[in-house]
Amino acid sequence: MYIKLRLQMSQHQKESLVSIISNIAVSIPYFVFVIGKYQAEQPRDTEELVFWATAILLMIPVRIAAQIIIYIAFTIGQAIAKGGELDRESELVDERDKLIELKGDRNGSYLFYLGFAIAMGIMVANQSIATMFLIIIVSGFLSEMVGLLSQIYYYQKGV
Amino acid sequence: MTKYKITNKIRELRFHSQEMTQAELARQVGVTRQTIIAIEKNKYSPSLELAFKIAQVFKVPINQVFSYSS
Repeated sequence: MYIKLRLQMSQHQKESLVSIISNIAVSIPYFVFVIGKYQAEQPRDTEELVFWATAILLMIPVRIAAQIIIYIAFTIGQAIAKGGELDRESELVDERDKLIELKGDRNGSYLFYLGFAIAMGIMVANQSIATMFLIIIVSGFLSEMVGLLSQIYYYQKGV
Repeated sequence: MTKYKITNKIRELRFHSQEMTQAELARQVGVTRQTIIAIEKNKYSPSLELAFKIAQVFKVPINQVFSYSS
């Protein structure tokens, strides 16, 4: 997918870009931390299932908290850059924004379905539980990235 | 198969409405200025409701704003 990023981005495009950055900034270190912890603890049988379920559940509040902080920093940064003025139009979400969001989500979902099917295939092929969970986590991360990148693409190219 | 496309005369109608700005039109129909820009550039085909609202602002029938042709 070819994405032509111009300097003149709309507010919604900037927000998508900030989400991509925060997604990378939070998910990758968390992922590395979980892998390190897994190698150190070496959980087996039901403990392994508990380990991965906990890792996935903990990722949700960690990412929400990080995204809130990053988004607040982004809004403050923008307000400072514009001399304290708030862009009222950016708060408005119209039919085009909703359509673009839906199309982005659809593209991301397709990738997640694929990742989920591969993860199930891995289990059928008698591979480790860790591999299955890693594929699910990676496909979840990639599906969000694809969804956000699709949104930027549709804002740029039109829907 | 012939490919049909929705085109519009919003830029022209804005000009004849005392140079109405994109921001003003956006405000009147309840969308962002970016959406008006996308419609004018034929990058987005509005919903039927939005199309009627735009025609209402210019006080013209919808077929004088939008056309569907190959």
